[in-house]
Amino acid sequence: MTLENYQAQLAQNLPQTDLPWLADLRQGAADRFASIGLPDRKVEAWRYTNLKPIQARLFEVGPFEADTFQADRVRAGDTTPALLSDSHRMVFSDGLLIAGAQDLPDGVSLKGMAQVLAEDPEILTDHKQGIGAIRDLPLPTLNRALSRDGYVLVLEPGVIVAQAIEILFQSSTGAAYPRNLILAGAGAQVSVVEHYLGTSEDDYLVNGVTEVHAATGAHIKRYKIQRDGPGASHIATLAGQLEADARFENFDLNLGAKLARSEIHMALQGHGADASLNGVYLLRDKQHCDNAILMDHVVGATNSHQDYRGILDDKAHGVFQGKITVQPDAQGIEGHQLNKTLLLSDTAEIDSKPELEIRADDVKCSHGATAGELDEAGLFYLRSRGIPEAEARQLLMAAFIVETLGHIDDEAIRDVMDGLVTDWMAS
Amino acid sequence: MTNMLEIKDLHAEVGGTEILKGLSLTIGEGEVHAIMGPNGAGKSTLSYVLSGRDGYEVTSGSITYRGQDLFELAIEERAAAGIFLGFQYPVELPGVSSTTFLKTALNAVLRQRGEDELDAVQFMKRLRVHTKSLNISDDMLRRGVNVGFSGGEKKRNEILQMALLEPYLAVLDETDSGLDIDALKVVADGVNALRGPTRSMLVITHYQRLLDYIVPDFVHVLAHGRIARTGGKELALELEEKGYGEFADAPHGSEAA
Repeated sequence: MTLENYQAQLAQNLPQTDLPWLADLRQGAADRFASIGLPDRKVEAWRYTNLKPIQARLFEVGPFEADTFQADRVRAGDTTPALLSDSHRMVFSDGLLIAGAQDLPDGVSLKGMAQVLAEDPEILTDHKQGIGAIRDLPLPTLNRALSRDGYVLVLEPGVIVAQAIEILFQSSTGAAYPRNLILAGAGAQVSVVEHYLGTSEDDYLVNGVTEVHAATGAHIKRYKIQRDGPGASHIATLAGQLEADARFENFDLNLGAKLARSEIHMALQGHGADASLNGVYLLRDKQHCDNAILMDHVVGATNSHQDYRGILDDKAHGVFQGKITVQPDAQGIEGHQLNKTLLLSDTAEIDSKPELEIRADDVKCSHGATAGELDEAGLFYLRSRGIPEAEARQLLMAAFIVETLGHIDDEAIRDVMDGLVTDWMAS
Repeated sequence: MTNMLEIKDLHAEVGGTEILKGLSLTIGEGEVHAIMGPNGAGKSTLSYVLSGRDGYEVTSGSITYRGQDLFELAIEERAAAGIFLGFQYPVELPGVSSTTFLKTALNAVLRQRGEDELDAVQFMKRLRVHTKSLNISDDMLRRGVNVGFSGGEKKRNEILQMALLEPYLAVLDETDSGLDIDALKVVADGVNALRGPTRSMLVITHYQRLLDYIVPDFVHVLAHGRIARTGGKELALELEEKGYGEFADAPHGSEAA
């Protein structure tokens, strides 16, 4: 199946086909994708990542079941795995909502995208086109054409959500195009965990988009835990816009998938906005993980921080492309970026490309990238104290990323991440 | 009395260069031996061969430790069997907290010795006994292993590890290097507190000074990869006076590293 018969075979699989603006939006996206196609490696942003493996699966979008969003009915018998013992949970399976969140506090709305389109599409009025920075990019464009569902989280001003929101995206086959939206009103606070989990070894595709709008003084923490299946391709695009004094903390833990790409476009649009984007990638076998970040200091007195660290074994391939842009007159900004990779084998590879584009003069920016092996002297020291080699290696690996994990300030979530990281190191 | 350690005609290479050239040494239970010698004589090589470090290749000879062939044991097994190496340059491990390191090491050793591991409370109790006498602050324990430690703090931290792991044979490599006299006394007191009838020590040093505080039963001069002379503690004083001049000429014209 290809885009040529989009209307005939693909569009009808989507929810709310009778909304004219939506049908137009999708068709426009489909047309655009048909003309631009997938980026190849001549495109600088995709220089290190080959998308050929996803080509065959792009259009395997299953049918939309109209009653999917009345999914609370399956809540009682829900046996999907939860990472947090105490959270508001929502579950998607192969791109469709199967279990909705319950008992949400006042001022919080968390629904499936399909449900929002059916029940109150006006929520989306200002967000139909999506954030400009990613609107015309090939993969978000394809997502706009093919997305069946996703989550929409709306926080009214001043709402502080005490429990974290945990959203499970489990996948086993085909192609899923989750489209997620977080709208945080002024001063609202929330922690969201997006957990991508593979339940098969199939070469399925996830191509998701998450958009974040943080109004003045809002504080959003978003954690992505990527544990897609060993044959899967996981493509994710995150775009955020932060107004004055808004804070956004993002943490990407990349463990799964054969091919992973996590692209982030963050715009610091109001004075005092602050973004902290951090991540850990742990790869082995022939896994490929590409983190690409574009941090845009649009106005002055904004801060950003990036700390990405990875451990690569076997023939794994890591990529880090991080760019900090400081727009003209965005004075008094601070932007820092760090990428460190530990290579456990001679055949593992990291391509690290930090970039600064500064068009203002009163700025404090830094970037750094290192790649190295496990410290032989440290390993000997630990073993000379009786610590078996495997355990000593784990201690040194854990030490390598402990600072990055330290950026997670929700204790329960950090414990979950610690546990997953420890499991990876021990296996 | 059984022997703690018997080294017989040991030859060892580093990077293809022979450093130890027929070294023989026997250490009895409870004895403290000092090995002195000029720079490059092979003192550190001996300590690394004893602890099993990669890159130190034994080409011939034998080492028997408490009746066991030492070469059959991996690095961590030697530690569990009771060999402790106090490093000349303790390694910094950023990101590994000192407390985690000490607890992991102690429990690894206890496990390999077939003893019960300690839980957090039991461990802290045992740790406190030693940190107090070695003047090791809580702040040091919270930091990464040896990270930001002064020279004296690093050496005290080595002695702390030795006290916790309760070895049978402690090899102290240039424990005095980089220490002022006050720091040296604290370290020496820590070492002396661990002397006992079942614990032997091999104290490696360039200077006699340390041996004023850790008084050895025997002193050996290591030169050109072998024991050139053995005596009592008075030999150290003689070396202090005369220097290593008489051991300076390489018998085969080879350079030891």
